[in-house]
Amino acid sequence: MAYYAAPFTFDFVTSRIDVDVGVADVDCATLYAAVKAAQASEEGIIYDRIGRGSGLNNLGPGVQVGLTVEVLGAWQLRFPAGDYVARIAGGNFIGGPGGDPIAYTAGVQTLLIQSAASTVVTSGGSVPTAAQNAAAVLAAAQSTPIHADIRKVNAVTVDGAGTEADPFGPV
Amino acid sequence: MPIAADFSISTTGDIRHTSGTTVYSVLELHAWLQDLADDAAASGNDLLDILAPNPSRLDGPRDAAVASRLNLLTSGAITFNLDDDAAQYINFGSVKQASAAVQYSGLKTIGGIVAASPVYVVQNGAKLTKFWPDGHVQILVKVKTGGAFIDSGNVTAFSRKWGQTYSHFDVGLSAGGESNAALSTATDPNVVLTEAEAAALSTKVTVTFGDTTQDLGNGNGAKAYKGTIALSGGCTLQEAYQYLQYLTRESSAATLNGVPGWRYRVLNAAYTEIPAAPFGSFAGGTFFAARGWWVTGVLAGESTKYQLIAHDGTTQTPPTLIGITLGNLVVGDRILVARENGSGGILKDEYTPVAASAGATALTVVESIKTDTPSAGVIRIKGVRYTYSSFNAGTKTFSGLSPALASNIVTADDVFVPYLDKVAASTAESVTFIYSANFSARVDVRNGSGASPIVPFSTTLSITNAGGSVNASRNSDV
Repeated sequence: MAYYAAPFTFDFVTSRIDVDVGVADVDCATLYAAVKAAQASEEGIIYDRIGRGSGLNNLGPGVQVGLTVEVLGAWQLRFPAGDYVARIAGGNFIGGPGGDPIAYTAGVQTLLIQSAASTVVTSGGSVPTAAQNAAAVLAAAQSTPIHADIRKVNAVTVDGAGTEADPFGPV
Repeated sequence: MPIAADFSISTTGDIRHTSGTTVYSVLELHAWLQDLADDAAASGNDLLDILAPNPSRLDGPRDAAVASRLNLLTSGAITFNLDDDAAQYINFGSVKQASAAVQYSGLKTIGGIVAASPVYVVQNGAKLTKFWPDGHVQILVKVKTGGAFIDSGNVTAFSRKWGQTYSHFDVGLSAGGESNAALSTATDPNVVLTEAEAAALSTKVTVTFGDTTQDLGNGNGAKAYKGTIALSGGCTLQEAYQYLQYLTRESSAATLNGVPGWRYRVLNAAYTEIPAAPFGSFAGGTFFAARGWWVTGVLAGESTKYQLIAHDGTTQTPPTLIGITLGNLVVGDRILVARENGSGGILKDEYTPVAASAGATALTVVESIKTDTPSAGVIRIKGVRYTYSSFNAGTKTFSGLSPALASNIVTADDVFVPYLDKVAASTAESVTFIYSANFSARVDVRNGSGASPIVPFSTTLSITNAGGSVNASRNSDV
């Protein structure tokens, strides 16, 4: 019994998530999307859950807490054998038997990039550029001038109380 | 009154009843005849004296405590004899006459009956004209004439009064003497209609004789029946029972399978009769149909309030149908409801398969297929989802597998039958099946893709004779 969601093949009998040959970089978000699809598949529904995800809490526009993917039970991720470095990034990947979410594969060095304070920043329209920020401030000032507490003009200190008897100066 | 006052004897031996209502025993008749036969001279209308031939002889002991077997003798032109009218006033024994060419035998009903229950006697398919009062009878029945027994000397005593349970008893009278017919009647509390009201049910109850093969849906498959009782128009089982009793009461004018209703007894001669109710009895709100009857048109509210006996003698009880409903779904959810394994998981090794080859469209299992298996649905074989169109409990085979088996199956492979195993097509999904016993089911609802993935929902659900239902909890997944 197996279910495939590129680039992963879920073997429900052996509890292995096999990564396609030639894929050395695994993104946690992609992995978890595949996990959710697999465990809700016709093949997977009769088996216990493969994993669970947490995080992705919203910290503000476009910024979320990082994703943590935990594989349950005996499930592990397994890269195909070879002489290369495999990387898992884009979040935290935990769980598995004995707390090891990665199955041993001969010749493969797996680099698990974990973070205690990972965030996810979403690129795109919700994060304005500096120029966009400046333009927006100027536009706002045109319609609603910014109040100013004038202390100097052209590097000259302004004095006086601004009254008829004591006008702003120097005069 | 002495017997002499009620009977006369002619010179040719005709013994006739002349007056009175007293019924005399056979022995009293014999004693009277012998008393006359030793008289010096005949007198009155009893023309018998010592000059006449011997009129009678007992073919057995002379004992007033037991029924007597009297032989009325013939000598030359004198044939001592009773006629049918005179025989109505004689009982407790039998009388042979005309050189045994004619015989009257004694019939006595016994048993517990409602006081004054009317009794009628059927001989050779016809009711005898009653000359006896209601209640137990002790009479002479003419069983032989012209030297031949009428229906081999057999008669049947019936008591079928409206409002009472019925009774009948076959008895052979050819041996002479007096024979007993045991009857038992009781007030029938299930007959609450008048005869006219029962008669009006003819538009709602149809009785049809003839073979039919029907499946009650109780897991026992199709069975042969020999007749059909069809209810319609909102007819209740109790009403039907009363109508059927109406058809078989003493005064019935119905003809049932070529037999007058008043002597209709059973659908097939090989079946055991139900004398109290020929079509079946009614007790505790349940109609227990007589063997061979298929009952149809039963109201939904009474769907389990009857019981059949198929032609093969097996009792057929209507199933209690229950359902499992899974709610709070969205279209696209993957759902599974299956028997639980006792520790919260799915019972995946529910059945042991008999080895089968890839491409087969049927699978036989070792264990008996559970009664509460859906009549059609999904079967998981080695984890793979197939649908089946039917199963045969007798051969333990699931048929109509679709698709055909994808691989060879060996006995070590797991086989189980989920109750629900599908992608939800609506906000609630359900399945109906026969209740057999309480059990626990494992429920899974998952949706891992699309716009609203949820944290997989799992729970166990107790299934009782009322079924079971549960709503999925929908918690968004990351």
